Amino acid sequence: MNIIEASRLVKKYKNTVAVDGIDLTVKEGEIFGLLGPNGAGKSTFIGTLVGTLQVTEGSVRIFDKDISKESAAIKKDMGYVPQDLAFFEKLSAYDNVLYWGRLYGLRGSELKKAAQEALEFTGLWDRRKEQSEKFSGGMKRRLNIACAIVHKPKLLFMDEPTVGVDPQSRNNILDTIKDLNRNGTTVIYTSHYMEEVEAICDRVGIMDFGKIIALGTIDELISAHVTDECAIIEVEDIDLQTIEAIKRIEGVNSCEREDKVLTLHVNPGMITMMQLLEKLIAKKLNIQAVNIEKPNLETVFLMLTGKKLRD
Amino acid sequence: MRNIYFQMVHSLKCIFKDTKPLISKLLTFAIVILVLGSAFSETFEATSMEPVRVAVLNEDQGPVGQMIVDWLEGNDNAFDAMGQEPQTSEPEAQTQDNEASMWLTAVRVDSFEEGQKLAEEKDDDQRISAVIAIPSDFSAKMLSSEKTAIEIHCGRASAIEATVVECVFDTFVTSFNYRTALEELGQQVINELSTEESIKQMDMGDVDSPDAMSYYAIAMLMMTLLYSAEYGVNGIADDYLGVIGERIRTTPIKPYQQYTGKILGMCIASTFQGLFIVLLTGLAYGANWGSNYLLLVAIIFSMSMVATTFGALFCMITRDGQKAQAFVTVLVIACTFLAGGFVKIDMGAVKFLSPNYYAQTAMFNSIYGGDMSIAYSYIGVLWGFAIAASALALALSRRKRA
Repeated sequence: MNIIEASRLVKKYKNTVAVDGIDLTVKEGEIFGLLGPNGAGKSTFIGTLVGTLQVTEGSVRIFDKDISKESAAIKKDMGYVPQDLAFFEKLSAYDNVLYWGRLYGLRGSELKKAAQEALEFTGLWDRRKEQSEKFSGGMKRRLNIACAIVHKPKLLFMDEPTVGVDPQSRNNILDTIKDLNRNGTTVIYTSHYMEEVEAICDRVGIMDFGKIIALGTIDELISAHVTDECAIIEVEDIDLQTIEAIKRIEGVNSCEREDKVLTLHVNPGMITMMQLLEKLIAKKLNIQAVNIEKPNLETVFLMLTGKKLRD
Repeated sequence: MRNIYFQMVHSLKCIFKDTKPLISKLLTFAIVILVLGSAFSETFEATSMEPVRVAVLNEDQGPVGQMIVDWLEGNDNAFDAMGQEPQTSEPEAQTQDNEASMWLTAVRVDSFEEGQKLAEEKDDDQRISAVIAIPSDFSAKMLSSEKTAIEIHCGRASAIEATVVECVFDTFVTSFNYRTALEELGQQVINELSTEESIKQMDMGDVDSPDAMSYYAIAMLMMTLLYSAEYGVNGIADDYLGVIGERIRTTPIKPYQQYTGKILGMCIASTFQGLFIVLLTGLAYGANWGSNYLLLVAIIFSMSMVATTFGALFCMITRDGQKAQAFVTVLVIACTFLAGGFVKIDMGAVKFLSPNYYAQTAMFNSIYGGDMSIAYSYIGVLWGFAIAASALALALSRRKRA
């Protein structure tokens, strides 16, 4: 069953097109990743899906309901973790979670139970009485999530929820998202951290300039867009003549040198890495180290846009 | 309703959890009231008024004209002389002061021109403020029950002086009519009637107007309440325009429920702060807050409502919490000044632009026995301000989502 159906979605700000005719469907139970550099239009796209921004053109259906007509019914089963911390810092973690629970219509013992579960789920139950202002960055991020899941939403939007978080807290948050998904929540996850998306997402859409330029599972994207393999080789004493000779090897698409490091892109259909290494040894190259890089989303993004994700 | 209620409680909780700025604000105003109240205490003390100098031109040869002149000159038995020949040589009668002489100093003149000349006198001690002319046929017409009138020319008199002359003559006419009526009924004149009962110099400081401390307690209370516009600004900036507001819009709560609950919460918080000022200044400084506590709370609540809705409106207009905050600071000072909150002066028609004026006038009227219909209508004006500001703020909020 499709949980989200966006059709020819456009969002314009005066002369700027922030979202440019996106078609997207997300299935129930997925963790869908939206990957793109800063300014690609991810947050604007999410804004149109959660109803904080009005759509200029196109339509959005969530839970098979039109968001422009039945937003209240949709919002009851939807959670949103914004990119910025959005809770009341003067209040305790518990009071914050209670507040957001009430906004979703929870009351009484049901609310208290749900708040406890959300705080336990995010590992904040023991610190529930502390003023959230005094929390560490990672704890604040987790509280930001707790406020969004207190009502056990069927669909959870997470807009770069790990910005500015240390690696340990980031892993913690990613584990939480996987647990939520295992419990039946469909997650829409935006990030410009390729590793996060690779770690948790079933399907990925890559956005740039307001458009989804690639869509599929990670393997599908790599096989569809990455043809080269990359070898990084550390060598001693290499001259320009040798580099030119390497470039002439059949199947080698490029060879770049930076100090003692050679970066080679090869066509795996024409030459294997073993054959390449044999040829390099035959040219009496003094090889110190070899690293074969597996193609990833970063490579896909580089291939598609000509720039790195964090540019 | 439940959503509005819980938003209200949440709003109150947020304000009272942040105790430092709250305490600092209240203590600042408590100190300002003490400083202003002490510094201007002498300005607010009641002073006695000097009698108004009037010229009396008596062209009447009959007894009534003479009686008026005698009465104006301080003869308390002037009425007894009515119907008798004019007596000017009765020393006891002449020296027995009446209350008219407390308010007026009569100077006899022989012509209107002489009176005009005295009115133009440069020496303050010699200058007269009005000419009272008794026409030549006054007694004849009075005694034959024909219509006649004493002419009072107040061309150069101030409003207060003219009012004094008018009041003194109103009293005379009332007393005269009362006496005539009794005599026609054949009853004895009751001697207790005198101008003393009709004209009293009231001690304004004790009963009718506030002392400096009470005045500034009210003026600064209004300023404190108007500062609650900051709550409106912060409430809207954080919970509507900011990231929290964006997040709230992804929830099922309706904007009007959120707005109403927030404004009510902020308004109640502001009212509590106002009541704290009332309690503190009443107990510690002896400020007079009257006895109509219900009306007092109603005025404070109404003013709080105006302030918070104004704050919300400014934030919606500027779409920037900091700009709105700066605007509120200027507005609070301007409104307090226009209402005479810093210095007790009448700013003319401009004062009607200040909500402080309506609230503090309603409060003064309630505490010092003023016109209560004005007090109630001014509370109505405050609610008019609040409703207009709310409607505009909600209308502007629709722009946000576009």
